[in-house]
Amino acid sequence: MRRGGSDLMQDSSAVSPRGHIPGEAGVWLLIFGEMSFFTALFASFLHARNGDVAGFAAGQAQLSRTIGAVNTLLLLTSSLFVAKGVGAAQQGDTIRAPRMFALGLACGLGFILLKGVEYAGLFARGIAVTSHPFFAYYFGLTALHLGHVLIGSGLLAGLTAATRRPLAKPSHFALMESAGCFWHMVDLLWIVLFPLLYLVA
Amino acid sequence: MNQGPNASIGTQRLFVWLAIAGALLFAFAWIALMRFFPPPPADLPADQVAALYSAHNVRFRIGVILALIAGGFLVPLSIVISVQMARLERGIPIWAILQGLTGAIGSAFIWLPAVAWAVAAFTPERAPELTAIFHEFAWLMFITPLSLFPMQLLGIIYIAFTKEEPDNVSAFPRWLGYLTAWQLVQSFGGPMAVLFKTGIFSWNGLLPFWLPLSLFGAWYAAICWTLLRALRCQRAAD
Amino acid sequence: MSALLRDRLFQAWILLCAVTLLSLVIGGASGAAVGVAVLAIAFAKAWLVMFTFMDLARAPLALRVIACVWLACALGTLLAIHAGAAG
Repeated sequence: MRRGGSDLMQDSSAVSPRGHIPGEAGVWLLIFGEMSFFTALFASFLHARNGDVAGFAAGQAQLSRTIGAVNTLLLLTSSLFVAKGVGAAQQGDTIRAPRMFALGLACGLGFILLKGVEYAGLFARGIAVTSHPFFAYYFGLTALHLGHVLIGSGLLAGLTAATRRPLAKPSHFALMESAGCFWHMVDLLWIVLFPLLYLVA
Repeated sequence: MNQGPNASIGTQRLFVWLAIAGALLFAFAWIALMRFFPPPPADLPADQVAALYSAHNVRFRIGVILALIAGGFLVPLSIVISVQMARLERGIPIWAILQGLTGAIGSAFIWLPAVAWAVAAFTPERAPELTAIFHEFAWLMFITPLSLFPMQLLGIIYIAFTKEEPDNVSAFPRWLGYLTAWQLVQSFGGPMAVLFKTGIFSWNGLLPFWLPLSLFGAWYAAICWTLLRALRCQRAAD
Repeated sequence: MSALLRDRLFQAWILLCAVTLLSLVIGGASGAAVGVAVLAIAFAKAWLVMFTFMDLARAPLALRVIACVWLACALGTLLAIHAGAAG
């Protein structure tokens, strides 16, 4: 459990009956909204799959489950680092916090790299977005998610730089937690995308 | 007589209402006269594309005229957003300038497609393939340039998170910052339409069209409301 | 090391990684139940991420309820569409 060590965080972070909203209320608008949009896309994928189960299964067989699983583990690990980084920054630890965010960013970059390897492998075998509806969904959904990973990586780079010094205002803590929650959301979306694209045979 | 920075509040309110009226007029022309809602499928054959423009040619062209009149609706809104941003910036208001300029350029991507739709409808008897080119040109220009808006949104997000006035009187409350950030995150959807002719990623699909459109509608309503609220508070404080 | 093992975030991470590998094994099998199983596992993981990493466990009751209801609705929707293939 993390505890608010900094004076600035005492009022908002101390455990109270009313609880503490991670980040601030606004970021949950973004998170639930974005997750709802993705759920609509996932639903559309499953609906399209119902019309051509065999074709989708054949497309799925072309994917590397190993790469998908390793990418899942990479994002889970980066989420752990980011959660640790947020906790360290709340305690005013200006050495540990940027280190944790940098490690989280490294895992995120590893995810991007592996995704590139996966795309390159598929292209090398002549598979493109137009090959089959499965691959339209595969490339569309993973590219959309990759865009989120890129934005999240930018946020983590920003957090790595910002937490080298103690955060000055309560709103800075709120923004840091919000950015962390955005990264966890990116992880969470992949957690659902992975079984949908790689495992639902 | 008031000569202070708040002297233009009346005009700013007028601009916001102009933006609201313009958006509604554009929506009316686009939905009721051009009949582009829901959008025609991206994989429509050329002869059926040509029929879209020749079937009710005059009604369509009147729709284009109204769309051209209303198409600049983003400009007055962007100006008021910029003026309100500049109030909150220190020194040269570069975020406000970025927002205003990108807003003005962004509005071109609303009325330029209307010109291309006008060209498509102008000579209904020409070869269908030629009409189809302008049809695609117009649609891709209309759907994909959501990619321009990130630059516009960035300034609004920055001001919402760094301003020092309380949220309940501000034109840029923090929740609007997050709503705007959500829009920025969503802006990948539009350009994807370039890759797909069918399915949810095509220009009439869930991702490039339905989701951004509903989010844009919500954002537009939200920022008009917060601007009018802020202007009301500034007039009361004057 | 023992301090690390008592850490809630670290425990959650171990569990999430283990469950990921489990769903990889389940996904290797065939049958209609596989889809249901891996989706249910994914949403269980999503719940765990929200309540540990996102720190929702300390959030106000309303936000926790919204999160749980949202997860249940999303999973229900996806499972209902998935079941449409079999029926």
